[in-house]
Amino acid sequence: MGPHVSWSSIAFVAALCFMLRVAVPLALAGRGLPRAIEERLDAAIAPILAALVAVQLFMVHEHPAIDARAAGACAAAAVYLARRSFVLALAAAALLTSLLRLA
Amino acid sequence: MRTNSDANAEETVGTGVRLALPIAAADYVDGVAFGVVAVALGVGALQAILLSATAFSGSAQYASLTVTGDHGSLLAALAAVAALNARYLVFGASVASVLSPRPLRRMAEAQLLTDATWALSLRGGRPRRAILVGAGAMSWLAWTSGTATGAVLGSVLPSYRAVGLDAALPAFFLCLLLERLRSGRAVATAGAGAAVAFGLAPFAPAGVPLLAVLALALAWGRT
Repeated sequence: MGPHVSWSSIAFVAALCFMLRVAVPLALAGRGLPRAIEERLDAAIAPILAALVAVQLFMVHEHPAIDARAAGACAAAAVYLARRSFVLALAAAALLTSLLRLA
Repeated sequence: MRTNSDANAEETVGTGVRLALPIAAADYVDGVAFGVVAVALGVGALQAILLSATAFSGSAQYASLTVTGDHGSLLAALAAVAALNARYLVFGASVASVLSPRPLRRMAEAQLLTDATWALSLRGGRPRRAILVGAGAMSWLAWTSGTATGAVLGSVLPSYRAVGLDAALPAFFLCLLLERLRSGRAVATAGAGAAVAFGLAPFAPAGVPLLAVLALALAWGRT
């Protein structure tokens, strides 16, 4: 049974994604956030990035796993620390990952 | 490590475009994969392309492919989309002060928020609108044109995994994370965030682990 994605369901999904992105910036209307909240948001960036890495890198089809991408990501980290270039770092990640899959 | 002059130089939209290039390459390939999958499941090519252009969220779009025609399945998909993307409420809050004062532009700029463009725009500490706009536009173009490619060309394309680009996004977040690990506190909270997400991921619905980490970090976080 395939999906039956009607135009109206596309409109609902699009509207919901749009609302989640624009709601707070529109509501704040250019006012800054209170300093205390800004500090908390700033402190949340490192744990969020770490959580993104954990979920995207070490979960494969909803199961914990380590695959070729982990080695690729380590290569990217090393290249990035040495050269500060996202292009080089991510090229290293893609290259090592694809080579390991060939092996 | 990074200096202030580095940070100050990164103010233009062009810089955002340049920083986002490797991410855009991964977004393009991801977009191709979504286009291929959507059309293979019976979604119209135009529907898939417009979904990418408007929802601009891979996880939400995959969730919407579970809609089967009855209202119950639509509500379930919308609940999944809300759980997957609720963190954008917080991302929006963190960049709101630097977005355009004009409402329409403000909405257009906020629409460019993704995990990656949000993290890039905050790389120097304070959010930077030009980086969000440049990186977001690149990412959006790549994702939407990738979907179009996948939806139209479908099965003639090489496998996504063969080129290793599925490693690019987690590698990118890892690089951004390394930049942030300048204090013992950042290392500790990052470790806790990874542990909570990793612990919840096998059991919780997609999106919930990130949401939980965000909630815990906001509840306890102080710089």
